[in-house]
Amino acid sequence: MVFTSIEFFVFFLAVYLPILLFNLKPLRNKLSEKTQLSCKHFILLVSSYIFYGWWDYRFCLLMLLLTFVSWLSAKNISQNKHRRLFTVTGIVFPLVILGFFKYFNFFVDGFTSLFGIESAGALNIILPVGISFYTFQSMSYTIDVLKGTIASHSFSDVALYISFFPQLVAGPIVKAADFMPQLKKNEPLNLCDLSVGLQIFMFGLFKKIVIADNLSVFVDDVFAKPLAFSSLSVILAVISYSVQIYCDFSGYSDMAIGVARCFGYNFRPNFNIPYISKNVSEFWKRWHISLSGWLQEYLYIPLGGNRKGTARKYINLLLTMVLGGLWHGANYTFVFWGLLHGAALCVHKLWLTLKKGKKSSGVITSAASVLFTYAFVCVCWVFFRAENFKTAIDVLSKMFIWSGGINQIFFWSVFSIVLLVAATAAAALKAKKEGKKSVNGYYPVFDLNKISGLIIFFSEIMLIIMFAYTGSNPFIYFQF
Amino acid sequence: MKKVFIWLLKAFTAGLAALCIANLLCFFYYNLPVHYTNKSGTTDYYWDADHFSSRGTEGFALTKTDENGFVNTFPYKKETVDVLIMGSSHTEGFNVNEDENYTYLLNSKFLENGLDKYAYSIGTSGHGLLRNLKNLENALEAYRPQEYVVIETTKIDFDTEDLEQLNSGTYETLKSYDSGFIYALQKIDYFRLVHTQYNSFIKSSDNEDDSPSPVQTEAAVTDEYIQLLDTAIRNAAKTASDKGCTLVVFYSPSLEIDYNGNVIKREYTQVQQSFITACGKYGVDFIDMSEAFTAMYETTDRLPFGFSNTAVGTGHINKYGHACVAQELYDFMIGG
Repeated sequence: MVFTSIEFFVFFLAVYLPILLFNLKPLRNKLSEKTQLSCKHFILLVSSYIFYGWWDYRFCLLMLLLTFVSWLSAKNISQNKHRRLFTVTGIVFPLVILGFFKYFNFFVDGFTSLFGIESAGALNIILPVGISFYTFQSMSYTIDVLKGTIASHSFSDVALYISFFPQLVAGPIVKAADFMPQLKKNEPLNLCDLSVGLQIFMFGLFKKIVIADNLSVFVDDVFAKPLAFSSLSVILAVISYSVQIYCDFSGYSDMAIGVARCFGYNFRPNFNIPYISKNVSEFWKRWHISLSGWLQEYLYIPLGGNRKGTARKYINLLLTMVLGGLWHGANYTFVFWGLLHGAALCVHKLWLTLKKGKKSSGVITSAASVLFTYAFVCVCWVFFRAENFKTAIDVLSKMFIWSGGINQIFFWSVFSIVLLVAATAAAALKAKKEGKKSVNGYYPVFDLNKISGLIIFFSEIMLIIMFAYTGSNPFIYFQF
Repeated sequence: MKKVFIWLLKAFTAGLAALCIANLLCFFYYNLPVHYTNKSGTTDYYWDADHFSSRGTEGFALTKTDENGFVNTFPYKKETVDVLIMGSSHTEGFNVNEDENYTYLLNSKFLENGLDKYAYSIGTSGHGLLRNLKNLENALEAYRPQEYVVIETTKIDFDTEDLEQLNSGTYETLKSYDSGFIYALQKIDYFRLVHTQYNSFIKSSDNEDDSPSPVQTEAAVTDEYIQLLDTAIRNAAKTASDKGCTLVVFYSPSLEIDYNGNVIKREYTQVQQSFITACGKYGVDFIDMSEAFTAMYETTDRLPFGFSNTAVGTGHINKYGHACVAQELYDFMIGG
């Protein structure tokens, strides 16, 4: 079940309405706070498993097993019973699950080609949707309990944290320390959350089905036969992909944040206008914030971070980004993408060390830094999008060696670039007006009690229906 | 309770206002005429006469229908029609501006070269070759073309069942909602677009291809098929010759491009070959646009199908394709 389906609309109502019953005074008076909370969590837990089982019911068993191991590990860690054993189990088990389902064939293929073995019998493994996201969440829970950031929770709370349907299949990766405290609140559903949540959801829906999906038509065409297109079209396609992946993934995150908000849960934004970053380090603070935060907290810092000398710092950075790349998919193109970003981060850190104390923040320097960072990110996206290195090299050669071919100046590319620039300008103006130093993204939320707010909201819905791409196009991050 | 009522009233008013805004946008984005059952039988239906139309979902074009509800805006008109053009949405040309469709361009070529010839198009969406063959006699009777009747098609292989229906006169007519509630709804452009979007969404969910498909079906060529096809072509050729004109079928398959940008050459399937053989046998002129389209692509890097807001090379014929078709028809008629 995806957010952009009619089934999800029905599903949402089927979950929201029963929970809304707890707003009724007789029910609130009759049941204790604890019972109300348990009932709400039970409804959310069951519906999350139904949501996930919609793809394949067997996936639910896997998630249940993972939840059980995380819960058991954390419980024993907090009680100091076989602490070391359960720490290893709580961290290694999710990794084994992830490794088996996502990377088994990748490593077997690598092994067979390295040693020239004809076949080692690749398995036909179905990749469970969202496995990369919920395995990371389960590890986050174990590590947070280990670090003492949170106490261990009941099995049902852990199960709800790992399976909570808004963020289950494509993030954002919510840290246990952020989510668990919210489970303790027993606030009735309210119109303000619903109104804000729906508007954030619609904002994400617009990004996904109007911008990202329409762009996918052109991007898919060019990456399927890059040599057929002119250099100009290929450059436009790569720029379009940068917009597509941003709108696709941040659109999904917005929808997840919006749905969670409707139920009274707050998730942090996962993106913050990433393409205005002046360097790669800033880019990773603005792009897929929940993943970069996770990698920093649970991988880079435990590896030693920058505490063990300069050389180790760079190695740690490279290793973190390579593993981050591999997390996206079992393909060398993702590994290379991670390596490029890791190398860029090292270069940036080195640059910062070299120019220590010197300040350079002129408008032209800033604009050039933004453009250069964006160009670098786009080149990296080529490896991320291409199915193999040959296609990536062909796309890059078309970009950098001017040549003819089909000249497609795709309407949706031009439209979305203009829209993105305008939205960024609006955010910059807002920041200036509010006297803030850095430009941050925001959700355009209106007061739905006012007729003007309602007109804008309904117009937005009608425009989404009008311009929506109606072909089949799953979320890019579902494959991860 | 009062608060809820006031909010509902506000929401209703806001909904109406939003619909007006969306409808206004649709006037320039997706404003198609309503169609009515054509009692003369020249086509299954005709559009609102003298109607301004816009279409931005596939390409972006502004057009106008003529007094008969077809797309013919060439300023010079003759009393008699020399070339009658029948076809589907490709011929109708709602995806290109009114002066970019091949009928308009063909008339321009006649005029530029001082030829006193006039082509008239009754091309209408959903009218494939068999539907046009079904309507052929009525169309020739109504428009009495002096020289040619041209039928455009993207498909020359058919279902046996469809051929049977054509030959027995039971081929189903396309339905028009020209009265009642659905008719009224069609007048609201936004609802029309929502309906189109919904159909497209359902089709894509069912993994159906939305574009007019030139993909060949690999049906076996049976004796029954040959016989049915023979009868259909023979009847059509006879109808045309009885009315004193030549029947021309022009076939415009899409071009497929490979990874390196080369055209993928396609051989005719047996079923397709049987159609060409039947045309030859009964004196029906057959024009295959494949070579002309390929030559255009190889010299200009332009594909005959697709638009700036669709996948390249798919969907309807674009303005370059229309120009290529007009040139090919002109060369055929003047050369032949």
